[in-house]
Amino acid sequence: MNVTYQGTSTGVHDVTLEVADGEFLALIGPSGAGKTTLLRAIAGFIRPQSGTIHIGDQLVSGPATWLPPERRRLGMVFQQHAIWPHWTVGQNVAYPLKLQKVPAAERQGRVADALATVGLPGAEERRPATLSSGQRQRVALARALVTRPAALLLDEALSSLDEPLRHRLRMELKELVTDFGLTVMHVTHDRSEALSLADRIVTLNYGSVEQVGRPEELVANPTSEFMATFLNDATIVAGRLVESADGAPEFHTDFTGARLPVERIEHEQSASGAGTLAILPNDVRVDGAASATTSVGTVKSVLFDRAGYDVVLGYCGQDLRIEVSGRRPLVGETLNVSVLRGLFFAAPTSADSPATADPARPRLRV
Amino acid sequence: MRSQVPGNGPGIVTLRAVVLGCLAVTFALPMVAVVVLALNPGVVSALVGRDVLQAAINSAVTAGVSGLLATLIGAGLAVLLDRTDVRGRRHLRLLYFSPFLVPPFIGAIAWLSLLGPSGDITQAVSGLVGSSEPVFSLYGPVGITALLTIHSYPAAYIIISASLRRVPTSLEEAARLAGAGRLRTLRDVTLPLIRPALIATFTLTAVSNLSDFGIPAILGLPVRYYTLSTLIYKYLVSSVLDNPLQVVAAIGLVLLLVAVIAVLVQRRLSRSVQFEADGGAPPAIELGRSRTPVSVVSWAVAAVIALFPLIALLNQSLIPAPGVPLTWQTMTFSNFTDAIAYPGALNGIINSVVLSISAALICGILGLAIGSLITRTRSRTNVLMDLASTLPQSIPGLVIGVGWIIAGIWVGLYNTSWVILLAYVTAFVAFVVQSVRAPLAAASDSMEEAARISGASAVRAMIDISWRSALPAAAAGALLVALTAVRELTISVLLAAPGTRTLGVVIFDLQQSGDFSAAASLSLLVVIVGLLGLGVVASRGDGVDQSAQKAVRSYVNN
Repeated sequence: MNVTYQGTSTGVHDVTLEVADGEFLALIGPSGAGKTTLLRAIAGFIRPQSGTIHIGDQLVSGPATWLPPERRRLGMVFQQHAIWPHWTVGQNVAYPLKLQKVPAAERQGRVADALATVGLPGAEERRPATLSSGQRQRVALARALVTRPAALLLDEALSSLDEPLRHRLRMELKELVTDFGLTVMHVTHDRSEALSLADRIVTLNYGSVEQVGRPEELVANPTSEFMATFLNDATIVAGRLVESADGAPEFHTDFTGARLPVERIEHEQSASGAGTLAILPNDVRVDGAASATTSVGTVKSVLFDRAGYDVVLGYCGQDLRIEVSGRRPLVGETLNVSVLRGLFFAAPTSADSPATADPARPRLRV
Repeated sequence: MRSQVPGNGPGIVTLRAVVLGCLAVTFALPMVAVVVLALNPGVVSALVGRDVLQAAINSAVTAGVSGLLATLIGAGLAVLLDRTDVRGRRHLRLLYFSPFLVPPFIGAIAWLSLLGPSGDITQAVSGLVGSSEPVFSLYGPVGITALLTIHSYPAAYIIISASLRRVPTSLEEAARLAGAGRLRTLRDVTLPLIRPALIATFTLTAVSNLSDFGIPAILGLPVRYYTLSTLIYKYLVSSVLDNPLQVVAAIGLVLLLVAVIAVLVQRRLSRSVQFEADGGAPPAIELGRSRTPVSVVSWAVAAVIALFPLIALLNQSLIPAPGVPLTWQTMTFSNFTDAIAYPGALNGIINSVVLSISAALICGILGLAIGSLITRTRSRTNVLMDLASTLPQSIPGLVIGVGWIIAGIWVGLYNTSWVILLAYVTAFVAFVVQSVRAPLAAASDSMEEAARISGASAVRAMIDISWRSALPAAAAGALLVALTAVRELTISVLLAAPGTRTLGVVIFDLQQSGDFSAAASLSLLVVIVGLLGLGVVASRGDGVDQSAQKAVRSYVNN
């Protein structure tokens, strides 16, 4: 699948994507980022102003070509399951086959297979009203898969479910997708869902792609301030990067004007100038002894988290968000903080605030 | 990339063209007819004539006062029946709702037989005070106002009750936590929140009473007390004017403008307060020691309002002549046979049945098509379709009748049953549109999108998914059309020719010619058929309460 957009109006602009056969691609981004718009353009519910969309070798949307949704051979699961309430489960799942004029006898077998695949064998005669939300979503999945589509589109497909059901369906979905070698595009606003499911993640912001990569890459190396905060809850400190006496860059915060003790600053191109420093929660240690590279921080709040504790420290005049394992820190306690790594992003050269989408905004790489 | 709905395909385009064509005939044609004829230079002098001015004042007084009373009663009932622990609330609600199920002109006939100059109660009271003359009479403005109130407070109650239910419980709970008692909360928080709804209710009931024909005709015409709607009728049936149609069209245009203004006011008000969530049912206000007395009085009043008209009709139709006391000796069923044998009566019944079933079928199909187009597709013509189909329920029936007289003459259908059928479709297609709109709009877009992805074309998806799931709602709306049309008077009385008279017109003529017993017998039949019809609607699932509310919502268009 190959998607290319141009155009500058609201929605999505200048997106180029290629999804490999059998790949599980997640589209994430804050609400309004255009992820659903992109998915609906691929499905055929929205016609892009420019650019092309290919599914397999087939051009489905282009300047002179437009295939309506019913002719794109796709399967889709919607957030609100969209099970037709006036038909039984079997009729729901059989409908795509009926429209493909599959003979009734074969239809029956394939519906039974699809329902068995999603863990609802023999549910043909049930009414949608009698199903739980998880079961409805399974029916929706069976309906999307019954025609063996070229790709499966998931639009917040699990978002309406409650934990832990959602987690269980997530596992089952992954298994199913792997077993059948399905190509999937999954739109979600849930970061951890995208990270856990996807082979590759596309992050959208203000209608354009912020960063594409494997989950591991995105977590370890965000390429912009937005990525650092959106995906990693990084602390952002405004200040300047200056060259120190020994040639290594130092970061001086705007707030205190003083140097922020950071062991390693990663930056692109300009080794000096105004910008922001992103400190990822995982790049901070608080368990060591005091040394030249440590500084004292005071615990302001502590939240329990599965992986440890989510702590906010008062540190050099900043609120620093970190992750701590082991003993629960106490509020008011002072800790020796060493910041192992900071990611520097130079300030945008134009006067535009980041809130307005600016295609000319420089992309910075670490 | 701009959000842009891909072409809906030729199927949807064709469907839209057909629907727009139908609406051009049912809505645009009669409305244009009224406007064209009304905008006539000679008309202004006729319009400011003494008769018209007097009738306008009479209309304003009876409609205004009855609208105010209906709103007050409706608000009182909403609090009493929805918020207190008065005994037997469910059944009490049904009793208080019952006047809505009786056509207003039949209500007038019934109450007249009790409180008219020779009515049973009038006679009894006159006898008690020793007067040989009747001490009161329902004829005239007071009676008209009272009857208009009785027949409009149920709708007022339903609207107010619905808006009361939309007040989020949390707002009231916050007041309770702040230290206000239940009654205090009601006064300080709840009632102020529904004030826009109260004003909207007054506007709606006043305007709908302004256009009522049956009550002022039956209680006003015999004593030459005219409202605008009865004046139109008088002008059309008697030849006091040389150019009755033009004058009548001008009056119609004025009523039309008042109705449009009311709709605008009401839309504005309903937008001014929007609550996000439906509130749950708050705990009932405990009446405490006054619970029993309040319950007794509520039940007594409800019984009078609900049962007296029925008893009166029954009584009237079983006695040989008005004023004769009903005993085993005097009881007769000849009124029923006489009524049926009355020239044109059977014909009227057949006409009404055929017309109402035809209107229901046409409205059902057209309404379903309109409803699905305006909720499921995007087009500039959607607003037009919406207005053309739902505005008529705010337009006085007389205006629609007058419009179709003129349009009927233009297209050569005047004095045929066709013109009545067309007018019914104009007036009642809104019932179906309103009925299917909610389920269609509530179904998320993804329902049809899932069908598209499954391989269905746009029209196929609309028919397979939206139409099929809205079919029960369309059927309920169509049944409502049939029930309303079969006992319709206002439109029919203007359009009926000798061979095309409907049941309502037959009853009205019987009453006008003084054959009260025959009129009462037919009225009783109409009421019973109406109640049975409602029973059918109710047995389809959600109970009389809700179907009654649905009915009102279709009538009064939120």
